[in-house]
Amino acid sequence: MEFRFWGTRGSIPVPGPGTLRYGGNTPCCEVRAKSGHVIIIDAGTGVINAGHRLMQEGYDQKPLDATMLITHTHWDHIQGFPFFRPFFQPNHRWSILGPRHAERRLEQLLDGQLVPAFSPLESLQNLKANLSFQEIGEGEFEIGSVKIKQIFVPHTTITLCFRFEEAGRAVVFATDLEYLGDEIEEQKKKMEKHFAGAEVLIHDGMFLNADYHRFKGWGHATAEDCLEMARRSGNKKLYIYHHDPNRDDDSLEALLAVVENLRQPGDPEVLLAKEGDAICW
Amino acid sequence: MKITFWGTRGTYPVPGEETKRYGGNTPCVEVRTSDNTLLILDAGTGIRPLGRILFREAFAKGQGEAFVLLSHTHWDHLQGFPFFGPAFIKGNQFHIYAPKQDNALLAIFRELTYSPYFPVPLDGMGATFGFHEISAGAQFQCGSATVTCIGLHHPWHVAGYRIEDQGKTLVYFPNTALNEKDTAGISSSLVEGAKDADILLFDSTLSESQTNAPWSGHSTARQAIALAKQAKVKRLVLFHYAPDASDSAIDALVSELRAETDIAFEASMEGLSITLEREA
Repeated sequence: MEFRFWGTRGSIPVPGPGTLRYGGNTPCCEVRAKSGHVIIIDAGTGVINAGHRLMQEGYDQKPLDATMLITHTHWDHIQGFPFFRPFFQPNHRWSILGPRHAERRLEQLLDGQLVPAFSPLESLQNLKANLSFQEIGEGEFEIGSVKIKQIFVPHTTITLCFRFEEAGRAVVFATDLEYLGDEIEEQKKKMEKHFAGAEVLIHDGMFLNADYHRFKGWGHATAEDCLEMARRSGNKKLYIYHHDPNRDDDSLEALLAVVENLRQPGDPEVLLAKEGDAICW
Repeated sequence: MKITFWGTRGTYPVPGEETKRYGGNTPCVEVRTSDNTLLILDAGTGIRPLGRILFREAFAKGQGEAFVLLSHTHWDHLQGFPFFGPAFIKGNQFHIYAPKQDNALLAIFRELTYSPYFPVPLDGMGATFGFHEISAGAQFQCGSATVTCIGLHHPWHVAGYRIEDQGKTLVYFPNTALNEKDTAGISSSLVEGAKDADILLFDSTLSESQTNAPWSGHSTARQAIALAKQAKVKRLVLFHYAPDASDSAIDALVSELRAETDIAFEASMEGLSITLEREA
């Protein structure tokens, strides 16, 4: 399996000299299964580069049957969707899976950013690929050699967290979640179970505990939460994810240093998720 | 009048090594009039770093006021708005202008901040927003500047703005073809709208090979030069680059154009400021 970061930035893309090392594109990751299946996770602006790679691999000619998983429909997780080149290929089939929002269906939410007021594409109907949409809840399913398990996480809108398993090894992608309210310990226990035994945990660490009081209720965890959860869940490698748009590369390294200082013997290795990096097994 | 570029990129934001000089943020231009009124042209991702700078001023205390002139509501011109810090401070006032279309401007801003898309509803943001839907020919005052709305040629309702202040004129035409679909030449409304401007910011999305591609409502840099010549513009500024235009590609384009034209022009760059001194 290959797991690649195409976008690591939270909230809004941040171009410029200050984000060249860790990346300025909004969330998107990709899983390539041993069986060859392509799974894209989230469609922030990072998905545009994921699409370019598929084109370079010959999928501008070859047919493709692939999957896109949407954790939730906040702008930073769907804003690259209209610019994903594979959606313009008539011989591509894409299954798009995401959570069901109480007020508006997944397909309508994605169509909502293509209406004439917002986009010259005007409608999902004008994307040439064969797109199908499915709303999913907690559960598990398989795509080729990869087993996927997903649970809901506490965020400001309905949000899924996906775990990917292949040949006894696992990666969990836990973006956009906040341990909040009277049920923090219950929330952590539920997440710990989902994270348990995974070799790699990718976890929202947008803030630091010292600043958290200013951002309580925004739906994001702290870098210290990341370490606590990885420690509790027995993960070997922790990637801090969903970088704050107000932090440049140096400031992100300062955030990492805070967590490094808390590390004890036996704790997981801690890294900042970096656009373009891949975990390959 | 002082003009500062916060976003110069069209279509979608492009972070990375290849855009670090000309910039990867989507359109946003700050204009300060001679009486220090703040005009913000478009609300692409460039408006987020502008917002951080504005916190040094009255906007931090909820005493700020600005005119936000949207050329249109396509994503790249609007997507930064929910991340514009001063919009979250009670007391700040924003007068938002955009071309009239089928959907009410207020409804568009409610959709932009609808809960499955963004966690804070418009009414919960804090600042006060006034919405003004305008048509071609509309004229209004922003402090010492008189602004005229000019209809542009694009697949959706798009306004260009002619901003006149103390005898100096800035013209903002970010998204437009030289004429309507299936129509040749340069439209008289563009020529009239840009007439004798001190500065014209103009759409340079298309590469030369795309000139005759299906009409997209965009222009090439050479078309920008053709309009600037005909309208006797004093200084042309290329704007709204395509996502795949790298810094080195823009450098090369500028060199090519320098060799073939004698009109005054330059390529806009994130962070660049241009000051127009008032007539003595």
